[in-house]
Amino acid sequence: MIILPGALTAGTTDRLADRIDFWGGVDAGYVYASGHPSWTESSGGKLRYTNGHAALRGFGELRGRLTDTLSLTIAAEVGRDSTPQESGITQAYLAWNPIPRSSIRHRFRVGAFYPQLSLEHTQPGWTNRHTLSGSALATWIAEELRTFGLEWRGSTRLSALGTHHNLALSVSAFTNNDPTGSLLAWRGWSLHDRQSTLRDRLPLATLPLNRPGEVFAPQAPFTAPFREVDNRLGYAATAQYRYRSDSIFQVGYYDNRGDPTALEDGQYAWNTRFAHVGVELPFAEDWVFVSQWLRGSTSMGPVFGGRNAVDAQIETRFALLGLTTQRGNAAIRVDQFDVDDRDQLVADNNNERGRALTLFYRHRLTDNTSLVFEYLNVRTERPIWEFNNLDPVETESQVQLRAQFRF
Amino acid sequence: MNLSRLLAGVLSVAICPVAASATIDVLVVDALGQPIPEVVVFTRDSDQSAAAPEPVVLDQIDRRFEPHILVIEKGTAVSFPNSDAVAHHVYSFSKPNDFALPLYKGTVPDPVRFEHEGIVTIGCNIHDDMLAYVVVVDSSSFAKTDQDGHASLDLPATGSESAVTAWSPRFRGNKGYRTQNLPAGETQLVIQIKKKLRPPHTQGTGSSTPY
Repeated sequence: MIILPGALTAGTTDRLADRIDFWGGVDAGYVYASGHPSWTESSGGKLRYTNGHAALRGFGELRGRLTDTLSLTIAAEVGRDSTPQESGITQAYLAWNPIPRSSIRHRFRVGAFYPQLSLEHTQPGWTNRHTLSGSALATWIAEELRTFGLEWRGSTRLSALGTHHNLALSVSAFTNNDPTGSLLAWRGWSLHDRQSTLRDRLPLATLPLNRPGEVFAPQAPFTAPFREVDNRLGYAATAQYRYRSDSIFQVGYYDNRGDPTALEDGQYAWNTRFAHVGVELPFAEDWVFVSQWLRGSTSMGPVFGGRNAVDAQIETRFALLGLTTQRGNAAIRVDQFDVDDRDQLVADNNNERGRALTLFYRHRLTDNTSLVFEYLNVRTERPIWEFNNLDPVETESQVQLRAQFRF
Repeated sequence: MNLSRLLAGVLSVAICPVAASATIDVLVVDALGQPIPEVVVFTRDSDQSAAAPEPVVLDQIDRRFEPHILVIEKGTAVSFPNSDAVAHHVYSFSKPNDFALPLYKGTVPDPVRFEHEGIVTIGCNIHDDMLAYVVVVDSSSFAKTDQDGHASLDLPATGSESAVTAWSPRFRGNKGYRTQNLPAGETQLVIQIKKKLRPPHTQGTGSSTPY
């Protein structure tokens, strides 16, 4: 093979602008909501906004190619809710994609980034492809999961020529996910479009055993999801099979290997581990079916009665049907979520059971401008809500209207 | 240049196409008789080009290689312009035709000359779903079937039977090749692929396409 003389220099992108990609967008709109006040206001509600709130989202993702195979990506969010740090950096990482020398492609990432998990959030800025509010599963990933560490991904077509079977395996080791799981035990699942920033603090409602003088009194009134507490590495692995480029079957496992007895600066380490399965099936040209399921446990505190002080089984699943039309896209999604409290501390009742329905329609006005409608209905049974003088069974509804600009 | 050589050259140019070549029609169909488009057909029984083959273009448009399948004569230089607003990073690991261009957009790198027969799988190191095949043949007689499964091949009128080879990434087994003989004097050949075809590749449509 001969590359003609000069090929290695003549075609190089020397201009800085050619080495930088930027994706960004602004959403502005209005929220009508009913039900408990939002968890973002230190209450119990499952949604991000309370009635009459202006919804605002800005995001940007910048990717600079430092060399032909090494890139730096930084993603940031601008939001407006009742939390102190809703705006900031959400991902920052280096990626190295060496030129493949065989049919196996390798990718290495180091920094802070999303694990390969959500099948909904595939757009720049980890934006949801189908709806505004993520499923309960993806919402939790946005809240409490980020890989702070190193990831290797190997992918290959399963045989040399023409085949449509693709296999990819990602393996990562990470730190800074120790409080991960505390939200699910102490607040429960949630559905919204908020992404935790890298130094975020998420408010917790007052709970019986978190008050002064009680067993979990050291817990701050917020969780800082990306703190390192126990100096132990966590790990995660995901295997993804793709048929052609659009049918996906995915399985994975995550374990933050938290030391349940570790505590630092008002943040406990939680031992959170789960398995997940996902499927994405396009059909009949314009339709797609997406479903994901996650099941695992989170635990914290010394062991007594055979269980950690807090020990909960966590489970959620959703099924989504999406339709792409000439002028936009529509989706309907059903979520189920569960927290099953298995520990001996009756006063710290973390049981929860709920389901949600999401209806979404986006009408594209121009290539960069859309109008979006989303209806979200969440029905939850959460007995501990009575402690906060909230109805223990609540149906929350939300309508969002937004104008979206992308650039 | 002396006069006799000049005369010989003029005569050969004038006479060859008339005396020594025939056009045949190749039809490629599946097991049910349905036409298969985008199949490379070629024959080894051709006159070798005297001059170096003309350079050809394999473009990148909307994160797809265009064309998806390109057939060239050995020694042809292929240019890889980038018609997208995003940078591409074109490479192939198909030895001995492997190569890598630098990351680029806006500019056109110097063409790549393919000196070895075979299938060259082309990818983009940034967009995993982009895929093209460059089929390098040791022949100047090659074509690709149209939507109706037809292709025209120019053959030298040898008076004996010719072997016609078809190739597609959709053919299972034998590395995608099928060879069939065309009896002497025939001008039509139907190649039927008995095994079930793989579905055609769709570039860059998957949700996994990195933006």
